[in-house]
Amino acid sequence: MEDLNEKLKKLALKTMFRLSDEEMPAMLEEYDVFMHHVQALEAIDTSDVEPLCFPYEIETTYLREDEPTDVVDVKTVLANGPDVVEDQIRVPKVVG
Amino acid sequence: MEAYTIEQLHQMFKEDPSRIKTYYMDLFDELTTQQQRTNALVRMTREEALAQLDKLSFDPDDPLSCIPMIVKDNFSTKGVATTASSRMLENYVPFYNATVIDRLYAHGAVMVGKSSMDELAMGGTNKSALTGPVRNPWNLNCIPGGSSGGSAALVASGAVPFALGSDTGDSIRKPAGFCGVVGFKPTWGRISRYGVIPYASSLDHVGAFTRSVADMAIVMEAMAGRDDHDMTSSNRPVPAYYQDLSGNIQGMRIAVIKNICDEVKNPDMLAAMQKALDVFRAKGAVVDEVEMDQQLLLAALPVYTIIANSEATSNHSCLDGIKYGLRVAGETADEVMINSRTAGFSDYIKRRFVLGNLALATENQERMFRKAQRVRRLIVEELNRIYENYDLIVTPVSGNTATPLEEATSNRLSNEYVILENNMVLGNFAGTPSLSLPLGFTDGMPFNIHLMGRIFEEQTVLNAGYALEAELGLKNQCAKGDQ
Repeated sequence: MEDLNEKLKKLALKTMFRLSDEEMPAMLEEYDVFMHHVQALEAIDTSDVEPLCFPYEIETTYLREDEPTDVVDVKTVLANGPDVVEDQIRVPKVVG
Repeated sequence: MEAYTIEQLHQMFKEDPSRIKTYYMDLFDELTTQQQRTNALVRMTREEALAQLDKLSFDPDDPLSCIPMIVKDNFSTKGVATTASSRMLENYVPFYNATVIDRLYAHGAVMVGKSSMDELAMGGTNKSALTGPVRNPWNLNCIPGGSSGGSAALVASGAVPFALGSDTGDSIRKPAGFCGVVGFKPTWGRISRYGVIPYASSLDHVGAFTRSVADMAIVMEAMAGRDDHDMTSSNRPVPAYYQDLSGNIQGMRIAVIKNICDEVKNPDMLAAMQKALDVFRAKGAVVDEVEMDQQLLLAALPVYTIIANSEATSNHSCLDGIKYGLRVAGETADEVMINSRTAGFSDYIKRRFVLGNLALATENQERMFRKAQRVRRLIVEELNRIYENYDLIVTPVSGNTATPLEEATSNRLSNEYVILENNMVLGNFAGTPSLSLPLGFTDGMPFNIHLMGRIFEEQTVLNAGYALEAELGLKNQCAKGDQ
């Protein structure tokens, strides 16, 4: 069986960050509490119970006219970009 | 500087509008003093506020005209950095206002600062804030609670009459209790969340802190209403909460949840709860004890933990260091994201995201995330059964007052912790309007009572709070410190 440390570190990487060795004891403790919570729910019969995704049943979609609203200029949108060149966000080369 | 409610300030400005400028000069001095005591501000927005005041003409018919407010640092404010207390967003400056900010500005409210919070609104202590822990104005060695701890502390210090907060589990109501002020989150969907950095969308609410119920009615009325930018906001008309505020609760049916109250051990808190129930009875309400299914009560915190972490993981996948926020260099785009998120999130946030991702993983999703959503339905149905016979549900806010800053966390699997300390999450599951109201003191520290109504029945909750507040003598209480 895969070591729990490794499993959680891999999961962290899938979540797009690294966990250091120093961070692992607290992570393992939190995992333990979390799994207690998972077990507490397993004891409850939920057959024929639908998931509740919002607090109450609501209609969250509507149609509007297909016209532009809330137009924002490119410079404004990119003002917070950490690396912007010629109105585009620059990242390391993706395609070889 | 005297601590004024919104109503008092409005009256003062109405009698003599020339006092507005003088008041603001005193206010900035007071905020500086309270910041030195509590560390509750992320930034003071003095220049922006004075510029806004220059353009405003006082409206004697609007109770929010020229009234100062503090805004939690997860509400987008145009041109003013909005960090959500995360290194990831340390230099993020929104180019638009959250809808509620625009609405409050339209009423003439003036933002005088942005308040500290737990990172990304996850936490109940305000110890994880990027700008350092916030101190409780009633005892500077104690926490204010969280995640809206900065807003709660600043209202409790008397510096401002109201502040904005957000509430996903109890992030307004718990700090309101620890700081002895009024905290309210209305029905999910009553107030737009557009422009508020999310935590868990199916649980997130916008709300506020004040020092009186009447002030809360004023603020809620200004913020509530449909917003096409938030698809979950309600089309229902907004009632006149302030005008319709009444202490007449004759015939109101009130349920006290016995198995939550039974976990309270502090004798002052028990006596104060009895006194509150006696006040309700004396005013003509019917008060009964009811029991909730114990297994479902014990399941509330597990459901919350799984749903909140999962939704947070998904919501914050956009914080990648590419489009905005902290960027740490890397050889590939993936490496940039990984490096940025590794440096940008605290270890506390990382743990929550890992567990959220665990629950969302294909092989676990039915067993964990979907299961939690199914149990959430059972819990909400259990609450709604109580609401078939009662207008209001009453519980304690906590069995404790604010803990010392250095105190270790409690046993997170004990019944007291799971049932009592996290009971207010029921209001987030069901989206019900929930009020945290000052109830008393023990060992010099304040504590509150929790009143929760049916969805969209804000007026019932506010009226019950108004009736109780009138008898307790705790309206407009604050802890300014030695001055």
